Amino acid sequence: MLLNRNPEAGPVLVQLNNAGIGYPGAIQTSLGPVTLKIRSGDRVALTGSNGTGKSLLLKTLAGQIPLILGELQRVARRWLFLAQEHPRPDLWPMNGYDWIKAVAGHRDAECALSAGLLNKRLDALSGGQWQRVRLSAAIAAAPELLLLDEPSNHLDDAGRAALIKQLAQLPASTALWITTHDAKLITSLGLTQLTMAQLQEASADAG
Amino acid sequence: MLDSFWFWPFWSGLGSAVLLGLAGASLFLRSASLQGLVVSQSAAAGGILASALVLPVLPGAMLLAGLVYWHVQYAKRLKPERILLFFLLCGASVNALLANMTHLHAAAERWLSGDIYYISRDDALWLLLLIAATFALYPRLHRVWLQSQLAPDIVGPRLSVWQRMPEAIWLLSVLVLSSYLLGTPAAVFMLLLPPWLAAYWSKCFRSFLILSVLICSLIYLLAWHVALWLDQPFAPLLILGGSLLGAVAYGIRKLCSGCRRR
Repeated sequence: MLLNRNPEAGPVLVQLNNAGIGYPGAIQTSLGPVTLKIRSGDRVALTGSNGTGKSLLLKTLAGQIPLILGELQRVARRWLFLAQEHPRPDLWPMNGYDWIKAVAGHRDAECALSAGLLNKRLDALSGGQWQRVRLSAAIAAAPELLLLDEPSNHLDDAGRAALIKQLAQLPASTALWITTHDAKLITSLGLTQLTMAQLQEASADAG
Repeated sequence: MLDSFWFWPFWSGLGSAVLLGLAGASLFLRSASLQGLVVSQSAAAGGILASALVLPVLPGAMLLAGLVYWHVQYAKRLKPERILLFFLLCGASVNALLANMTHLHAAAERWLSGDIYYISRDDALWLLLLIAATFALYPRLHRVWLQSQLAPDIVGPRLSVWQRMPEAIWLLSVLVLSSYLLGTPAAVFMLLLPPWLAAYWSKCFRSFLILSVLICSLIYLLAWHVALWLDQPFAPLLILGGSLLGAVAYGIRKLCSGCRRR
């Protein structure tokens, strides 16, 4: 299935073949069969109503949820999935630098997203500040495949502008798949919009 | 105090305190302090059971504690209520053994009350090995502790079970050996209170680890000196003194935050 703008742009990083997707313990699959390829350099925004399985698909691609049917082939050597919400413990003795080290494996400098936040404890940040630190860590990790679930949640206008600026500077080879309801984010980054309905139809055709 | 009789007990106790500071911090970060509690308790049950069966004590303790740790951490990922059931089960087993086999009282005394002043050189050598392993493994331990904070975000490829295994074995060894050397109540106390206090006062992950180790060491040193000076049992004094220290630290913190607000 070829849903990206330039299907032959780069090598395949992740491939789903006739995948039946659903939460563990579910009686039947919530999504699928899905057949798709994510290629290096893809820039895709998954859209659709609530409950259509956008987050479920990203979690499956990231390996958090096992497939019920079909197969997942992952060639990417480094990928990163940022969940929609990341609850924080009441007492969390880590600061932004620690978080970046945990995610990226190295201590990174501040960027526009994380300016003035990295020295603060994570449990002292507001929801929006915490989201900015998470996003800056994800970008600093420089993965081959970046999966962001509603990345603009909790962000104010300045935060959203900083996010767009940072994502626009990703290396051309990085594949970026996001779920979002934020039209400005899609247009500013020039993402290929893919609705869940289109995904299902295209998967059925491919099947 | 540090003449030949006290040398091994003192330094073994201090070494255990340092390791417990690190182990407690790692458990606190994972919200898994209860697991530490149940593993320590199962180590005591395993050690006493091994004594009853005339088997080597430390391997027996490691075996039972390892099985319990594997079960609560990997096989089932039990909820806190069920973890506490394991704790009660181990405690009941120990009591049942002691009620029926009176000759086990001396062996049980070591696990339940702590016989720090009778730590031998052979016991201390196990601890020295563990400290050396801690230095060698530290970068890997650090990585596992940091990575344990990522969920529900995922950085792939995630560490495999085999990559996490050295940390699990290290943690198990610290819990078992410290329970053996200091007594289970003292070891569990050092797992619970110092990291909790350190979490209030530290600014980052590194200072959290350092502060946890320092608080453990301070509590140990206080308990050691006061217990010898007043001729009192070590473990109860450690818990009482540590609790007092914790209450004072908590009070100071409240006072400081109150002054800042004004």
